[in-house]
Amino acid sequence: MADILVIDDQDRTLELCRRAMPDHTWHGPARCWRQAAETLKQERGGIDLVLLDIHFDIPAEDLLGLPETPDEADLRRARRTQGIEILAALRRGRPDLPVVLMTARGGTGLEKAADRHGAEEYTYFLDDEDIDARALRAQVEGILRARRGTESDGPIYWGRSMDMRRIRQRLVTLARGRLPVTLAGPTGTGKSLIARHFIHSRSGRKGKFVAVDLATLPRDLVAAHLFGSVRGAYTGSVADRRGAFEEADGGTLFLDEIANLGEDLQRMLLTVLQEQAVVRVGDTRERKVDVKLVVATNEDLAALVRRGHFRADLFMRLNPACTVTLPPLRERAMDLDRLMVFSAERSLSQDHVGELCREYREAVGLPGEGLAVAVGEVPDTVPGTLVLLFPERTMDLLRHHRWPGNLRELVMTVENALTFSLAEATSAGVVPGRRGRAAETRADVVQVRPKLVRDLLIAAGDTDAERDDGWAIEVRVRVQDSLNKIAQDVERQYFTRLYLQERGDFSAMARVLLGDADGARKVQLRFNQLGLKVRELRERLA
Amino acid sequence: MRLEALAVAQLVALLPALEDLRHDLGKYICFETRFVGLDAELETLRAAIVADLRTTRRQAADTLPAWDLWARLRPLALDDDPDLRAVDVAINELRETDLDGPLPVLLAAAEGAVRVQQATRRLHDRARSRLREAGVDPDEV
Repeated sequence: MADILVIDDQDRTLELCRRAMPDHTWHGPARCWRQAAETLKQERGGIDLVLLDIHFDIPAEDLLGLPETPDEADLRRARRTQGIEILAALRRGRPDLPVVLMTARGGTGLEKAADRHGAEEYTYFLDDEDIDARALRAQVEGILRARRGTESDGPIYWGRSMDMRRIRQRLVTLARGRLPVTLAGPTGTGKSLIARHFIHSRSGRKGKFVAVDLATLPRDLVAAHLFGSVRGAYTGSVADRRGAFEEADGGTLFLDEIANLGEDLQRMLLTVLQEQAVVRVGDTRERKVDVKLVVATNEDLAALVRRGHFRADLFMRLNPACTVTLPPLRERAMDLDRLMVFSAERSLSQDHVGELCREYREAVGLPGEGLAVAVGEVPDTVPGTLVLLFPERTMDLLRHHRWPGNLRELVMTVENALTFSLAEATSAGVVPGRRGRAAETRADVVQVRPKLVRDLLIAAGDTDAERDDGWAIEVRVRVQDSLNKIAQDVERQYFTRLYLQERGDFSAMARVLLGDADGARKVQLRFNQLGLKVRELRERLA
Repeated sequence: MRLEALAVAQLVALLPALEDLRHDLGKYICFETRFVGLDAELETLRAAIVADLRTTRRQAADTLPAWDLWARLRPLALDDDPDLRAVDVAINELRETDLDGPLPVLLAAAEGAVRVQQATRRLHDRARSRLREAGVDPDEV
């Protein structure tokens, strides 16, 4: 199902489309650019496709592209080509939104005009003089299918937002190049998934993908692990050993949590990047390596450089100008429903969840093999399909959750929700009256109940209930305390809670406190003025 | 006058009106019928033909049947043109058609609407060709 906006001064296209393709949600008709822009704004990027007419017989005040003092000829021309003007206006804000331009092919020259107005790969032409329901359906479905093709890649769901599409497009380019790729963003946003399943697979490299988590390696073993070692290089080194760089030769090396790399190792890494060769620990011989390096961090590397915690020369070698920053999940609200379904479908393909589905079928005597995930209502399915349903009330909880653990938390929540729902439903077995039409009583529907999801989210430690009630802040005052000191005590506690909630992301804190993510520096300054120690708080986060 | 008899300047002035005619009347007079297809169920087909002919223009505050739209858009300068005459004839027949009639009547109406579409398309195409022959790019008019 897709959201499609019809921009047309007449009602008929929309009426016919609604009849021909009832599965989609149709918006409009927007009778001029102003109305179209309003709808696009209201839907906040939720429109998947636009059907745009060319001729608009509308009042002069609604027309785009008129000179200051239009004469009758100007008005006629503007009306005849209004679709092109609307396309140009639309492209300024939504360059990659698919637009189907409804115009007679070949006869009018409008196709040429559309090309002049930034109508490139996302603009399609529909010969509306000869169109019928089947042809229109085929064209719309074809475009949506192609669009969906870029919404996900294997285990990665990019979604429909323009930001994520840009990130994907950028990574396509960066994956092919020789320069390192830096992935930034809060923990759990899918950096390692992208490195493994997107960058490596699109790099065209035949070698292996090797991942090293620098946060979990014992500090004194990092060098040997990365660069290799020769026998006797350190206590317990009983044989020559290839390091991660050599393992990844011809392939991709992913260094997660690069900010954790100690100063001496930063220097060694810099040398490897400069020379494209490694020297094993305890050895003197250089070994050439050809590695596509991908690094990830949830810290602000530039800030670490400024504070002297990360080498500026290594930072520059990591191609910082092309850093790709993945947004936290709460900033992907428009994709949350689909992400949830995507995660649920992937969970269902796992053996243990599949086993639970089989057990449930046996318990309730449901034949067949099909599985489907649905949101809101039970869809029409082939008989025998087992539907895992996330009712609206469950979805509301998920939609309003802040997801401090980002995608990782979502995936685990969804998998837990499916597992427990199936297990509970299997234990309940067939009960009298279980078969019926309502979702609650249908044997072919297993519901993920809101209570279960609420419990899972509470267990994960960040609930709306907690946020709605506010945070408990303790204030102890002495008679001689100034009001300023008392206020600072409160502020300190508030900042601490906020820091922990936002997982140390100052930009996110700035967004909460100032309504502007660019105010991170101000928040950090206030943090310092209050005497709060980031290092200590980071340990609490860990 | 036939279209080919017009001076280039007259044709340049007329071209936008012919484009409107092709779009507003030619496109919409058989829009819904083509959409549902002539093999649609009788009442579905009837509803589509009725909509196409009686509400050819359907905007928020402006609904016009095909014959009123034709009266509004008919290019007077082309009184003797065969394509214009073809539209005249077809529109008159359509106005007289009993749209409550049986399938053959409806199919004849659908065929009449297609004749209107084709004639308006031909008029517009001929005007563009004529301008090109005269060295005028119709896309720049």
